[in-house]
Formats: sequence, C-alpha cells, structure tokens
Amino acid sequence: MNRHTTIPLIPRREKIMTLLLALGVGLLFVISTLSTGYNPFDFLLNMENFWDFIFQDLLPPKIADWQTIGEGVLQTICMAVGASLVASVCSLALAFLGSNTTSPWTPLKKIIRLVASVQRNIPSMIWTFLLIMSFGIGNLVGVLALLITTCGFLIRSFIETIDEVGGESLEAMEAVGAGRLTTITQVIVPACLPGFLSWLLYSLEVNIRSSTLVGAVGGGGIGLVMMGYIKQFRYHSAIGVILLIAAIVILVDMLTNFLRKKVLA
Amino acid sequence: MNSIATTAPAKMLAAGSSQGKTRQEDLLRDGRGRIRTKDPSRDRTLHLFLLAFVILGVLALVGMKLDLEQLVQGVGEIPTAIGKLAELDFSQVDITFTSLLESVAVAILSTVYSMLGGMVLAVFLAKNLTPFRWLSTLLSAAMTFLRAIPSIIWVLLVLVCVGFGPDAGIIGICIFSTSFFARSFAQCFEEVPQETLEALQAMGAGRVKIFFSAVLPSALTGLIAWTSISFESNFEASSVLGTVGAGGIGYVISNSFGRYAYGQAIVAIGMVLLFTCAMEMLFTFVKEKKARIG
Repeated sequence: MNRHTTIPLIPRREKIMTLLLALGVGLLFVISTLSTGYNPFDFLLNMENFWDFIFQDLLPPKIADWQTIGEGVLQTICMAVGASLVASVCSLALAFLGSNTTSPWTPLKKIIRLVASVQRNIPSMIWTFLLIMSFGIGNLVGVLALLITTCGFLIRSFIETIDEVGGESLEAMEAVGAGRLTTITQVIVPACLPGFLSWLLYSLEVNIRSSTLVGAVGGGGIGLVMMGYIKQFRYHSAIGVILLIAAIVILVDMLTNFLRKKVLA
Repeated sequence: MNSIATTAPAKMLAAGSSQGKTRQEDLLRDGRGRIRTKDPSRDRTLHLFLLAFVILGVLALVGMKLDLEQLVQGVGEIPTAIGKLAELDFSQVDITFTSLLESVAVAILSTVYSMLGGMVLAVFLAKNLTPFRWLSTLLSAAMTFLRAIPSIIWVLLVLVCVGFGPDAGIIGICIFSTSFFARSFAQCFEEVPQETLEALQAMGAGRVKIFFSAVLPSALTGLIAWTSISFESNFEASSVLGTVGAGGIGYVISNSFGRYAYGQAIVAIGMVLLFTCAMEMLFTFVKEKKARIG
C-alpha cells in the first residue's frame, strides 16, 4: 500500500486549527510567565512552608461562636435564595422582551441584551463596591449585588432557551391565528420550562458560592464573619467557617443535582 | 415545543411499555379521549418545585429583615453616586492598565497550569480510563471538596502563607480551577464510546496510546469549550482578588474606592467590563464558527 493514500484520522483543517490554537495559548503562556515572573517550582520546592501553615495555623478547625456563625450562614443562604427568586422573575419578563421570537420592538431587544451583558460582565464583588456608595454596608447590598449579576446571567440564558424553541411550532400557532400572548403562554412557556428551571438551579448554586464572597467585601452574612477572622489572624476559626461554607456548597450541589434528576427527567 | 407534545409521552411510553396497552392509551389520550399535549406527571413535579421555590424565596426575603428604609434611601442616593462616578479620572490610567494586564496574566497562567493538572487528574478520575476504581472514587471526593470552596477563599488562604504578589493569586485560583477541569474533563472522557476503547485494546494498544490517539482527539471540542468557560471564570476571580488583599486590577478598584477616587475606580471597572465583553464575544464567535464547520 502506498502510505500517501491513507485517510487521515483527523481532518487536516481541524488539525491545523488545533495546532494554531495550541501555539496561541503557548505564546500567551510565555508572555504572562515573563511578565509576572511566576515560577511554579518556587511553590513546589517550598511546600514545607505550606504544610506548616496548614497543619499548625489552620488545623484543627474551630467554630468559635455558634450563634454569630449560625446567623451568618442563615443570612448567606437567604441572600442567595432571595436573590435567585427576584432575579428569575425579573429576567423572565425581560427575556420575553429581549428574545428574537417574542420581542415586540427591536431596539428594546438590543437595549435589554446590552444591559444584561453589562450586568453579568462586572463581577458581583465589584457591584458590591458600587452599591455600597449609595446603600451603605449591609445584607441589602449583598442581595442587590447578587440580584444584578444573576439577572444578567439569567436574561441571557433565558433568551437562548426561548430562541431555541422551534420555528415550526411558532408557525403552526401563527397559522391558526394565535396572538403573541397566546403563543407565549401555550407554546413557549411549556416548552422552555425545563430549560428555565435548569438555569435557575444553576444560578442558585452560583449564588450560594458568590454570596459568601459578596459578604466578604461588605455584603454581610457568613463571608463578613470569615473575613473578620482572617483579618484578626484567628485562622483556626476562619478555617472552621470555610469548611462550613464548603459543606453548605456541597449540600446545595447535591440538592440541585437531585432536583435536576427528579424534575427534569 | 415538540419535545413536550410528542417526545415526553413517548419517553414515558418506552419506560412503561411493559405495563400493557391500557397505560399507553392513558398517556396518549386524556379522560375525554383527546390527544394529550402535556405530560401531567412531569408537570405536577415541575409545578410543585416552582411553588416550593417561590415559598422558600419569599421566606428568605422576609426572614433576612431587609432594611426597607435603607433601600428607599439608597435608591434616592443613586443619582448622586452616578454623578460622582461620572467624573472620569484618567490620571492613573497607565497603572490601571498594567494591573489589568497582570490580572489577565494571572488568569492565563492559572488556566494553563490547572488545565495540565486537571488533564492528568481527569485520566485517573474518568471511570472508563482509570486504572483503579477506588482511586477514581477517592479523587472524586477530594475534587468535590476543593471545588466547594470558591477560588477567592483559596487565594485568601494561600495569600497568608505565600505573601503578596501574583503567586498567591495563581496558586489559589489553580486549586479551584484544577478540580473544576478534572471534573469536566473526566466527563468529556467518559463520553468517548466504550466500543472505541475496547477495539483499541483488542488491537493491543496500551493505555497511553489509547489516550492520545482516541480519547483526546474525540473529546477535544468539549475540552476547548470547558477551557474557555474556565478562563472566563478565572479572569473574574483574578480581577476581584485584589479586593481581598491580593494584586491585580481588583486592588486598583478597591484602593480607588477607599480613597474616594470614584472617577479612577470607574475607569478601572470599565476596563474590566471591556475585557470580559471582548472575551465573551470572541468565545461566542469561535463557538459559532466551530458549529458551522462541524
């Protein structure tokens, strides 16, 4: 057999694209290594420092004040769930105004997409800083910061879900003379409901994580408690709180996974 | 829409086909003999879940004891705040730009290192590739734990022991991101059909050979998608880790807020926004292009 006639396992074009991609990433990697002067072996060679820190300063974890911590945890969970609820209601309405298929007015569609993109591309911790300017420190700021980023994220996801609803069913509805509202309630909502819910669960997971972070910069809740411990060099208490946060996150992930299987099967 | 009208009952049919014809007819037609357009059992769970979520959410909002006065007052303050922010101040723009570059570099480095680490771990984590079953279970538990702690908290911890500088950011983000990569890469690897692996095994290919010539190429699209997602979230983390005491653009932002230099802060925030938007557009473009080719 002539070896030049073998069919390549991977299409040539794809091979070149992948190679280019790898080259680009490699170049970026070299530039950033040079600019930050980061050497991974520095850390790996000084591991004993790290282990010392973990086993002497951090472990064993200590829960110093059950009441403060309990309240903080409750606050954080409330922040996440409350923000998710309000965000889902707001973004559902906005998504219908912003989707290609249901939007009544094209400029409005563009405006909604732009606002959503600004909302989700500024991290929630920075939103917290901005909100503190007018609202002062407290859990209100935390909820609002979460609300803003979640809205931005959910609007985009909901719009994508709505846009995926097939053109055929829409055409069928149009053919029988259904109005915009009927189309939305009879076709789009039932078809999108599982998609909406799956995004909602995802946003709940994300919010549980970020509500602790938002708290750390002034949004209240368990994050504020943790940040206080770290600033006071009470690392045993801090790691106690961090482990608690991890436990909550894992529990919520398990719960949402269970719900996903149960509800979206 | 079609999924509701036809496939959902069809799925139920497939599941309950052993229960006889009456059950099938039950699912296809309702009490009055009309063709069903909805799947009642699924809808019931959906509505129950929605109801529970709304109740919980309202309880949470009420239970938080939000200060409504603060809310009203704060809304009144918003125009003043916007006025302060609108006084753009470009005097520090060069420092801001350098720190943005540092944040980007931290994000790139942490993504590359954790991608390599995650790839290695994923091989041991994926159920169809792992040499030992118990190792996969063990790793999976460890990864779940590492992933449960947000990357900013990891950065905080590493910061305490490594000290100020980009190193803390890179290592901290890496810890989170490696476990993220391991989990998602393992998922991609597990999607490679078992027949392919068996066929190669039957030909006498070793584990390493199977990985590089079959698993990696067929999972490549998924890997690239996960990498872009991870890069976005890593940049988000690296852009805010300055607010908790590490370097990068987050430090400029929190520092400007601390000095009441709102004009400088908004310039820095604008830079973050521009960069993330550009990233998002680039990845969407690549995704669409990829979809057209594929």
